[in-house]
Amino acid sequence: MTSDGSAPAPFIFRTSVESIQLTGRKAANLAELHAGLREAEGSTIYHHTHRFYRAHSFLGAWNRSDFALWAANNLKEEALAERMAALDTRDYPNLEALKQALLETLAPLEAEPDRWQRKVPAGLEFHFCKSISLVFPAGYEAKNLEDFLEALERVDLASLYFHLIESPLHAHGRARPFANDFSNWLAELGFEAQAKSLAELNPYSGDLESLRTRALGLFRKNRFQAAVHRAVGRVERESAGEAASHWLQRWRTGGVK
Amino acid sequence: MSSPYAEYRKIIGAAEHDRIARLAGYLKGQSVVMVNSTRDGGGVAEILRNMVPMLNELGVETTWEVIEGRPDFFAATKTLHNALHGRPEPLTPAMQKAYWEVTDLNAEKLRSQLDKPLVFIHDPQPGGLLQKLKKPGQKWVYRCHVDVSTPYPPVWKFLSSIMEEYDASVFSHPSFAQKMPKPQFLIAPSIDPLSDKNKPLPESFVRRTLERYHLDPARPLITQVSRFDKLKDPLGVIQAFRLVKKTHPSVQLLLAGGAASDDPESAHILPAIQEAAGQDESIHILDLPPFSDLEINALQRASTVVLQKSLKEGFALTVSEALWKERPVVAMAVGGIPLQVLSGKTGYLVHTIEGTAVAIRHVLDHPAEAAALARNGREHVRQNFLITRHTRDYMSLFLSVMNPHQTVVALGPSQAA
Repeated sequence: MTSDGSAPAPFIFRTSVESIQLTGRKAANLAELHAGLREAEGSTIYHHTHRFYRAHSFLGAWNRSDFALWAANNLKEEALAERMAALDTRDYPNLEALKQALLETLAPLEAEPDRWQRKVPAGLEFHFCKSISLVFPAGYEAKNLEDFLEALERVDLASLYFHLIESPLHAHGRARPFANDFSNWLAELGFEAQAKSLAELNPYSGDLESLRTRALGLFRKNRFQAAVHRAVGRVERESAGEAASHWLQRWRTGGVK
Repeated sequence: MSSPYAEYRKIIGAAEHDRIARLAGYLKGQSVVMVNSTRDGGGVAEILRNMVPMLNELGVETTWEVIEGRPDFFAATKTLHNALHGRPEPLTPAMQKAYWEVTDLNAEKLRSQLDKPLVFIHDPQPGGLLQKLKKPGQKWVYRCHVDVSTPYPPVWKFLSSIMEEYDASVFSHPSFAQKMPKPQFLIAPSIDPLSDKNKPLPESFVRRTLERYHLDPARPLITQVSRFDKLKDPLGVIQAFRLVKKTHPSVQLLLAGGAASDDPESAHILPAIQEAAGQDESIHILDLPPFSDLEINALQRASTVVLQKSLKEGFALTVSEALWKERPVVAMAVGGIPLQVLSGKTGYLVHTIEGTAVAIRHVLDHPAEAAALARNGREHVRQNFLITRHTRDYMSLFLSVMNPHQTVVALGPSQAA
């Protein structure tokens, strides 16, 4: 129930697709990467730190930051790359704070001009991009926990990405108890404990299919109860149907007077 | 012949299939016109042949118009194309005159057809139409399929003055981006897994195709499929092949290509390739007519190694075609190729003729490793380079252009949570 005692509005599962924009800005060394980062918009930081989470991970890269990948593969600055890859988005209240953390990781190298100014060969520059996100309903709506869990099992993975990773970044600054959409709705519905457990899941760990499995795992008891409920309903419907058909048969054959 | 949208469901999965259809719903009632310079030959025509029907089936009314040219116009646009790839070839005043004369003629001919809310222009040939036909309220998008990472500056100045007037431009690789006043988008091209070029084929058809072109099915086959063009480096392919043949004498080489109606240079390159091949009977040069898609499909499937030895590339869809067929690929690290070939993961990237030879030998000597990479390659293409993803990206682009200056575009009812 909501604070005024009414039932919460249905939860509309949403999904998103992205358009990638090129900024035309590039970096050939750490100095230019630092300058580009300093002027980058949030949508640029988001693109280069999140695009691998939306994509498939069959290649199994542990390093999912474009900045870190470029530092490792093109600049051969492996130690810097590891420090950049280790930044945990959840430790920062917003993308601006994450950007500041990336800048701070780079800053100590400014004192070493050879490394700071060393350029990559032509063609291996870092290209700053940004993400435009188009958000729309995913075709599932939940009025209660049972609907919600059924949708969670079936909805496309991009919807999980949207509600657990992307939407919390868009929602920054709005007063709400939890960062992710699922937890806020579940809490309104009265499932405080599950909302809290869901909020504690790390959506950046593993791939999106494993995130779905982990999220559903929090509701094992509720899903079991829902399955029993559905099975009992089915048995009751089938029994009623069987009884009716038996009665009809008897009536046709004159067994019922 | 394009395939019904429903047939892609088993390839891309139900969730993605539904998501694309749902996104298309936000473009219902819009109409788009695509414009390029040829209906046959080259990757652009091939994409449009399959994508235009798909957009229409999804409910996005889309038409396709082709400009008409004349020899001096296509000679000028070929020079423009080469110069955008970096070759220092000036676009002479006579060439510029031919370009604008033909643009005027096409503007008259296409005036009513291009009166749509969204006009999508592919490559420089029809680029000038905007100056003649754009109306207030219309959105014009320029789709650049060419590698413009290091263009010849005087010619880039000519083209960029045209491009800057577009509402947005689209490139295939981040390195092609330029400093421009309007938004630039990144969209990779694609292949159609159900087209004649890429659909599964019976083994018997593949065998008959090899027999028809006098290729020996018992010997390793190294293949490059590309139009005959200096930038595809067919002479470099022959040199690399000769290096491989020293250690693997049973190999055979196939250079399969053709000409496009908007490419006047192709006819001159073929004799040079034939001369370089000389009397070597293990080198096969096939000048295939347009619409030889089934034959190309069979030849790629029969190949032991597929090469793409390009010196410059917009994208090189032949790479995705080969990866989709789980063929080991050796390709130069130019243009959009590194997006498709992740070296050591989905194939082998090279930088020289010598490197090409070394990588081919490696594939011949390590077939199990090459096969594993090729399997990764097919999955990589399934996720990133199929026409369904491309169609989704174009629809996202249309919606982004219609909702400018927003980084989050909310479509449909708002989230209640």
